[in-house]
Amino acid sequence: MVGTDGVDVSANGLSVHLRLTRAEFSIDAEIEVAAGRTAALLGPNGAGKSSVLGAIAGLVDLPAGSEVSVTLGDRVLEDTATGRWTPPESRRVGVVFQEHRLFNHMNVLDNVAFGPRSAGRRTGDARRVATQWIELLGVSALSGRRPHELSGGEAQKVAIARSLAASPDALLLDEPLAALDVTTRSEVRRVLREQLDSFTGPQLLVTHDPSDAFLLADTLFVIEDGRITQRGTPDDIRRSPATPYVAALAGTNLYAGSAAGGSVLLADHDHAFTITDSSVAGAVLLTVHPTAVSLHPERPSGSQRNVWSTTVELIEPLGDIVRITLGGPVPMAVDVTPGAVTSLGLHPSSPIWAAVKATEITVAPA
Amino acid sequence: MRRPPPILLALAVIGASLFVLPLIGLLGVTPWSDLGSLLTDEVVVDALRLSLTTSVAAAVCATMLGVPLAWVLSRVAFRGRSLLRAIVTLPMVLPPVVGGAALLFALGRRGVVGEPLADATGFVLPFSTWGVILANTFVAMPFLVITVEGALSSVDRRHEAAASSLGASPLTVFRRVTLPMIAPSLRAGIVLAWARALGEFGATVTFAGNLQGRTQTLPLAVFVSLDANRDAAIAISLLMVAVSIVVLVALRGRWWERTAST
Repeated sequence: MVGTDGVDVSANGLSVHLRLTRAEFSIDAEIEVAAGRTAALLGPNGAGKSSVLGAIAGLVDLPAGSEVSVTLGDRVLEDTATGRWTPPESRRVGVVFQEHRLFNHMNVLDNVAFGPRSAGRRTGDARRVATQWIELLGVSALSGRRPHELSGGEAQKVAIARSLAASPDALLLDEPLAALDVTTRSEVRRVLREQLDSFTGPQLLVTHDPSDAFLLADTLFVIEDGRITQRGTPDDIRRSPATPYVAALAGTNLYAGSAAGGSVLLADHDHAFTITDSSVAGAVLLTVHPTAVSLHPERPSGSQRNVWSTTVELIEPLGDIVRITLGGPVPMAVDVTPGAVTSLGLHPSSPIWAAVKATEITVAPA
Repeated sequence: MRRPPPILLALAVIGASLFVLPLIGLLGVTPWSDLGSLLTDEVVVDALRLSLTTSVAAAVCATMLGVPLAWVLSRVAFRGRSLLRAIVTLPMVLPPVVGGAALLFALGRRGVVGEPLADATGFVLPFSTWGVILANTFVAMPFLVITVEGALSSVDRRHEAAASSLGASPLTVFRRVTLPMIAPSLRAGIVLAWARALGEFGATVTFAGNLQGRTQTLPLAVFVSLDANRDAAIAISLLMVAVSIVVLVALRGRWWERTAST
């Protein structure tokens, strides 16, 4: 089976088609994820992301008249056309929830051993499996603790271990980092990245946070008002956003780099940005909002700390604004007014000076 | 803190005295020196033994049957659910004597179910210890069912969903996730049911009669002794007060916490 975007999902991939109507909204979405790949379902809150995830896991009661088909590898998990429905415990679809949902009456070890035990393993055997996963996630020291004794980041790592210990064929992640603070978030994201890389089944990340989607996923499905409005690689989506929502979230310029002495050297581009906090050191993520960048015909003489010369690559009208894509040394999306395009006389390949204040660059540990 | 309004205070004192005075009265007439011999009397020992075994058996029956019943009432949508819930809780408001009579009409020697049962197996429930257990279960189970059903309805269902996604069958989810989550309410429900069974009088005397060593529980022994042997009645009453206090202490977590939070 080949999905609509050419992804071969026959070999243990995940394929979902969901069409439902509730009083307040309707969903019509089709998603395919290949084995070993991470797809992100990215959309604003209330776009229908949770319904898609719940339908795949078999955890939600869909309204009458819904059309659902979920296929995982060669198993049809659900198909309303034929009346087929697999109960959630038989789907082998693991879920990591936003609120870890660890069992409070069990310690970490028994939480992680819950999946193997449910699969019929003896207690000792299940605990051995659990211990391995706990070690892999780097939380061995917490083995005997109860969930209420864990920090948010620790609990989420245990929840990831618990899902994987059940050896699912597919992994769903429902806003797995949304409940965490910024520092913990990047730490858990790193651990999650490792696990997703070594997980052999399809992975679907549901998130409203573009940075999680762009950093963790190979393929993005953007969902708005229950419809997939764009699908593609993070680069595709950044380069040619299909809707204002996608433009706004994909336009957030995101760069990995290493910080030292108030400057960040970008990992993928031959350029350094000056930042305000000179105490930051090590791997960081920089975000520059498209409206924070100013464009000038000559080298600007203002207070901006970051000034560089570049060329215009693309000019795209997006409703009230115009999205300018800058070329080397740093590819960057910049939003300007249509008036500015005229007054600057911008054309594709015109040389231009770009400037951004150090205070407009957001730095987060990677 | 401001002084409470005098009228409320006065009524509260009268209300409290309603509970304190009988206790003082009981302690005042207690024949303390004869207490040992009174409590070791054969009638009292038989009644105590019978009360403990039948009330524990009734609590066990109420738990084994009441927890699944509460689960069905809470989790399974079906026609007549509200009606069934009303019928299940009926014994809480029904005079126990009426309950006992109804049991007799259904399960008595010539009852709708009792007669074919007795004809087929020779097993007769009324006027047997089994009858006491049945009558006790009848009056006690509603307390367990409403306590457990309330807990099941307010428990966080998302943990059950997580357990399903980890491969746990519905029965495993119930046993390993749901039951532990409602454990405090389940404990309280069992203690309430047991306490209700221990104090049961009306349904027992109607359905099972008053046979020493077989169906005469402590409350029945008190009632009978009031005429024949007043001091024995007092001694048994004191014994039951002591047992009740033990029950209250066992429940203190539940009730004292509620007081502290308000």
